Order: sequence, then structure tokens, then C-alpha cells
Amino acid sequence: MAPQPFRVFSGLLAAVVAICVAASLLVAAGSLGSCTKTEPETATTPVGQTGGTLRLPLDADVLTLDPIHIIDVRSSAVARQIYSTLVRFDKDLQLVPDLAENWDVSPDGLRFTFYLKKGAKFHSGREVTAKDFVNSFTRLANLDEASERANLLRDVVGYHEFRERNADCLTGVSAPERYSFQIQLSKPYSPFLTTLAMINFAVVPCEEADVDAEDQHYDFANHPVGSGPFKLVDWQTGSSIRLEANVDYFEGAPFLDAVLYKVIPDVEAQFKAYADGELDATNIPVGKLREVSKDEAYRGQFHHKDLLAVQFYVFNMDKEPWKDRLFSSKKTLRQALNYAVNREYIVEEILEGRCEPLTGIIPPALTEWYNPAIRDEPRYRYDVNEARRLLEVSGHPQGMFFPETTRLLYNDFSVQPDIASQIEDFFRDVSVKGKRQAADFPTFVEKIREGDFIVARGDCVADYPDPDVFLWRLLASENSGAYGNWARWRNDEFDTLVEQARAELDPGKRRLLYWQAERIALEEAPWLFLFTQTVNILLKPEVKGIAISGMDIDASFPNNDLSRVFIMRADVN
Amino acid sequence: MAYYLLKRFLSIIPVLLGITIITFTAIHLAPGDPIQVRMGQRYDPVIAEQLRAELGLDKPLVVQYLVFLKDLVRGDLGFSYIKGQPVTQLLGDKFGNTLYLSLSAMIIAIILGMLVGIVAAMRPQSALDYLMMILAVAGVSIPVFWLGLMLQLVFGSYFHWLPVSGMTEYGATVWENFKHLILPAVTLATVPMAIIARITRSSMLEVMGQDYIRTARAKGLGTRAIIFRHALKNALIPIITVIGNMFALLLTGAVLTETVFSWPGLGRAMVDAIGQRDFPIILGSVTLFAVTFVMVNLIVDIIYAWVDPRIRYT
Repeated sequence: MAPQPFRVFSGLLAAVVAICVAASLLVAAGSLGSCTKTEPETATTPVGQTGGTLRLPLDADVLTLDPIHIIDVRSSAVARQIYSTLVRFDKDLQLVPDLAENWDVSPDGLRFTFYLKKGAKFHSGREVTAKDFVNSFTRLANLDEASERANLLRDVVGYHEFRERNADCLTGVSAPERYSFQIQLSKPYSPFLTTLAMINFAVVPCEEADVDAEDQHYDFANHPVGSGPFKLVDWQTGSSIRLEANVDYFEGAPFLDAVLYKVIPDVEAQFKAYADGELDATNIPVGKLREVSKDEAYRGQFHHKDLLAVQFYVFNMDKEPWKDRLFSSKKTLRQALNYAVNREYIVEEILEGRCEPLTGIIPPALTEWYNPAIRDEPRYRYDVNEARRLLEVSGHPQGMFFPETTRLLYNDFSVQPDIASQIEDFFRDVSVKGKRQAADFPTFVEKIREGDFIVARGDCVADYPDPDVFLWRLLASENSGAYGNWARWRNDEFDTLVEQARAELDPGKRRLLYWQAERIALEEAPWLFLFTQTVNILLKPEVKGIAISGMDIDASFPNNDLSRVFIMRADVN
Repeated sequence: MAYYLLKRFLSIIPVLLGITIITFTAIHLAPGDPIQVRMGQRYDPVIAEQLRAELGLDKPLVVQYLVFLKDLVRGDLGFSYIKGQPVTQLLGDKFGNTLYLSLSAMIIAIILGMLVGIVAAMRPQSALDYLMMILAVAGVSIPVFWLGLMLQLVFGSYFHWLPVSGMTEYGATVWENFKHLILPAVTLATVPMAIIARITRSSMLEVMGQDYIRTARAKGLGTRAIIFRHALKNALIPIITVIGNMFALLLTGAVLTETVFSWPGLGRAMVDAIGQRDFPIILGSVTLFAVTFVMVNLIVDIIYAWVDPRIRYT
């Protein structure tokens, strides 16, 4: 019971501070609202309900548990239970305190000061202090650590000097006091606070993590030491990972005794294991969604949520026939194809309603940033005649004058071949010759990087809930190529708007800038806009306290803090 | 004998050179970039180049290969590109798991295979013989992955008798671990079992027609004594040869079986590594497979000499 009042208190405190801070400045609107909403997620009091093991599926084995090297959702889902970050997201994707009790931001949006919770301890028993955050952030930026995500710190003062070895530390991070940690940015970057919830920013005890010897490098990834609610006790590579409760967790000991992740790549096998009572949650196999969601046997176990995810195909703007020239924009051609595809049909026939047609670029699950006008009046609807007309206008009547067959490159998994084949059919309906081209993942990403494709499948699951992920990373010209803008689309007006939005501290103004930018991208159509995604899972009714958010992309619940989860047993009232 | 062994050991060198060169060339010719797999969604060229340099992927292929050889001689297979773990450490556990599975399968195959073969040879051309041989042909012909899936379906999904995937669970008892072994081991054993049955049968039939068997019968020995003391021992040589070869089949069969049953062995590690273009793991597992294969053949040759004193190596 101890944890409950503590959480409420810290929530209130955080709320008060956040409101004060709000008066003077600001960060993402998301972060503000958040602090006032910090409520315990468990509605029921788990009297006598502590203990037990929660068994969750993983689609693939975890790659690493060293936070600076984590790039995938599975590793992140497990690491989230082992480590703490300054802030995290609640079920509504609002920013809430994690190890930071509260924080303030200077009026120019450049200096962030975090006041840490006192008494938090690493699993090794040592107290977490601001110095540990300085070391952990420095470690992330350190060239010798070769983190794949070092550039998350690129706007921090001294990052480039440190990376180029012109400085021996990251000057932009400091610990003015034992429990206060400061970050100085070189230019305003509104989503920065939100990005700090990413697992790459987790605090680690550097005495455990920093080892020079090459083979020890791996050791920390395999024997992680964090300050989160659970500790790693067993990792059977390729088959299972077992975490046990950290009774000294700073928010109070978790209710569960343990979390067991079972690596089951095949969703059918996951589903079977769930039905056999070997798992407490499962993803739902292709072809079974409708049946399961209506099945009385699974009543009260089916959960469905809109995700912060979009799916699309990109037109390679460096290649014919999509390439814009000074006096001849090919946007009408790209628009034509956007009219040619019947998204509703694919959603119904292939995706069993797992997705919804994408009408904009910011997905509806990002509620505060989503533009409802775009949903009410979608820019593209299925209209074969309009598609034919635009093809003619663009100089390709009857699908003529294409330099070659339009190859549709996709990475071969799940229902992707069916979707590609369906798009091929829709293209054929307007006399455009398309041809599917499958590739395994490594080949696929290499082709994307090299620009060796005409049209390619793309998707994006947000790693932080901000329009920046979709508009800046996927479409800004500075990210042309493999970093995100696979279409290699360049539009000066769009770039300027997004750049302004990134620096804008007022959420209202920022939103309008993004909406303007979104309109331009829709009009110019560098993508074939397809779907937004949902997550569909089964969860045993006795498991309480899991709140599925728009970032929980599967049944491993990557955005959930499992410390307040408990298993209701029938024998206890 | 010592000279022969030395010669055989030395012959491993060209075999390994050949295999590693072919594998190395093949994996580098295939499209796909491990660095990009490792970087995920946010591929930053600057960081990618740095990782490439750190892993030595920026060097010419010949240099990369020579570095691999140099490390190999010292028993070092490098580091996994994706996990950063030393390959020897990573594959060490997996190799143990594969051996455990393969040896269990081998034992099943030898016992059941020879039993079936002997029974069939006892009553040649009888209904029992035909039945046994039909089973043997079926055993050889059934694809391993299909059989695996069917066994999973029947014993796992339908009857719920046996677990269908994985090798062990945290805190599992010996019996639970054994249950995990049954389905993959039986699946893997099927092909070698069928082949051993057929070879045993024909070899036994040949021996049973020999004069000394007739003599043994004439002096009044019982059937059991004739079969086990006289016939089987002399029929063993071709069976051992087949068993030796079978071992190679088991190792390659393990790739499929391990994938179907999520068995954390060398075969599955290799398949996963191919899916991620984790070159050191691919090279390392192929090398391990090759060494095992050569060693098993060597051991088989030595067993020949032990079983049949007439065979002498120089």
C-alpha cells in the first residue's frame, strides 16, 4: 500500500511545479497537461494481490539491454522495466515524472533543470544522483561507446566538439547539485523534453557500464544494472527473459514477483500458448482478428487501441517518373495514384480492420496534434476517374510514357505481399503497370539507403509522441535517405515551416505550423498515403493495471510500467 | 596410426580454407547491410561510418578475410555485429544445445533404426519386412519441417502432451526439460533412423547368408546368440559408415528442426544471423559445422579400426 500515497503526492507536487513552469514558458503542450493528470493507474487496490509472474510474449529476442544501443521495440519493452528515465509517458501519452520529481525550463527554451527524486537506488544498491545522469548522457554521446542513437543529443551544447574529440566531455550536461541535473541546448528544440523519455536516455551506474575491455562491452548489455522496478535474473538467449521485482524500487516495490518474457516469433504459436494458459497476453494472428474480437470465449480479454503509427509507400523523388523539374512538377501524377488506391477495401479485405485509412500524416492517436479537418475532408478518396484525369494532365494518359514498370519494393513479412499485390491491381485499373518486388529486411533497407527503388513500402511507429517524428524525420529534406525521408522529397516551404515548428515554444502556434506543413505534404504527395495502425491484443482478465497506450505496439507493452500491475487471484477477495 | 591421425588433422586446413572462402564470398555478395540492420529506424550516415570502421567493415574484403583467418587461428571468431557478444561465447552455448539435440536424435535413430532393420532382416519378404521398409522409405521421404509441424499439431495442440517450442524454462525440472527434448529429437531422428534401418536390413541379410552363420546354426546356437554375437558384429561396418554420415545429416537437419521448434541451437542461430547479415555469426557457425563434420568422420574411421581389427591405418 505504501506506493499509492507516495505516487499521488509526487503527482500533485509535479502538477504544481508544472503549472508554475507553464506560466513562464514552455515545452510541448503534451508535457504540460500531463503533470496535472498523474494518477495511479491501478483503480483497484490490490489487497492481498501481490505476487505472481506475468508472462508476456516477445516476437523476437531482445538484441541488447544496454540502453544506449537499443533501437528496437522488444529490447525497449524489457529495458523499460529495468531502467528509469527522467520522464516517461502515461497511458494517454502525456509526459509524467519518472526519476525527475519535477523540472523547469528557461524562458528561451534552452536550459532544462531536473530535480531528481531522492533516495532512488540502482539495483547495485548505490544511490542515483545527478552525476549519474551526467555520466549516462555523456556515455550516450561518447564516440568510443559507438551508440547508434548518439545523435539524439545533437542539439545539446558541446555535442559536436565532444564527438569530434575537441572536448573531453559533453559540456551541455551538468550536475549543479547532488539532485539537480541540467541540460543546455544550443538551439531551441521543442520536442526535446519528450524525447528524454526514450529508453536511450536511461540512467546507468557508469562504474558497471564503462569497461574498456572489448568483450566487457557486451557484458553490461547482458547483465544490466538499472534503477527500474525489475531486475534481470535470467536470459535464455532466443527463448526467455525473466525479471524479478526490485523491492527497493523508488516508487515502492512492484506488486508482481516477476515478469517472464517468452520469445515466440510465430504469432499463431503465441496465440496457442495464450489459449493453453501459458501466456497472460498475446498478439492476434493474421486472419483471426474478427473471429476473436467477437468470440464469447474471449469476452473482456480483447483490447484495441489506435497507435502512433502510419503506413505508406514512398515515391522515390530522385527517380523517374516522380522527379520534379523546375517547370514541370509531377505532383499530379503522384496525386493520381493516391486517388487510384482504395484504402477502405484493403483495410477490410486484407487487414481485417486492423488499420484505418490515413487521411493526413499526423495519426489521429496523437490527439493534441491531429488535424480533425483532414479527417472530415480527406485530401484523397478512392476515385478512379479522377485518377485517370490526373494521369492525363500529368502527361501519362492511359498510363503511357512511364520509363519502366513501377516496381513496388516491400520487405516480406505478414500481409505485406497481399497489400503490395492489391496496390498492383489498383494501379492496373488506371493502366499503370506495377510489379511487386519482395526483399528480406537487410536487403530492403540497403536498397532504401542506396535509393535503388522506384516505389517502396514505408512505415513509422513513433518513438516519442510528437508530430516531429512524422513531419520532420520522415519528410524534412535534411533527413533525405535512410534516416527517415526515404522519398528524398525536398520542399523549401515545408522545411521552413517544420524548422519553425521545432523551435516554436508555444504549443498553439506550433500546432498551426505543423498543420500548414502537413497540408503541403499532402498536396505534393511524396507518398502513397495508406493507413494508420491499431494494436489488437488479448489480455487475461485477472491481469490488472495494464493501460494500453498508443505506443504499446504489441503484447509486450513497451510503453507500460509494470510495477503497478498485479494479478487478481480468485482465492483472495 | 599417429602419422595417419596427424595427416587427417592437417587435412582439416584446406577444407576449412575452402569453406570459409566460399562462405565469406557468398555473404558479402548477398545484398544487405548489417550496419543498417543494427541502426534501425534512424540511420545516421556519420554514426554508420563510425560503426563500420569500428567493425572493420570499411577495409577491403581480402583484408577482412585475412583478419578473420588470423583471429581464427587464435580461436577467436570475432564479435557479433548485432549483439556485440564474442562469437565463440555466443555459439558455444548454442553448439552445446545442438549437440545435445543431435546426440539424442542419434541415439533414438540408432536404437530404433537397427531394431527395425534386424526385425525386417529376420523375416525377409514377409509382411512385417514390407511394413518396416515402407515405414523406412516414408521416413526418408518426409520433409523434416513438415513432420515437425505435424508432431507439434498432434502432440502439442491436440493432445497437449508435450511442449512445442523452446528447450527449457526458468526453474524447470529435469522431467520438464526432457519433455521439451522429445518432439524435436524424434523429428530430427526420423531420416537417419530410416536410413539406418535399411542399411541394417541389407547388411544383416548379406551376413545371414554366410557359411559361418550356417555353421553357428548347425552347432545349435540360439537365434539371439547368432544375431547379436555373430551376425550383427560382422554387419556393423557399413552401419557405422552410415551412422558417421548421418551425423552430418543431423547437423544440417538441425537447422530446420531448430527453427520449427524454436530450439536455441547453432542452426537457428545461423538462420537468425543470415536474417540480420550478422557475418561473424554466419562464418563462425559454418566453421563450427565444418570442423564438427570433419572430426566426426575422423572418429568414424577410428571406430572402424576398433570394430574390425583387419583395418589398419598407416
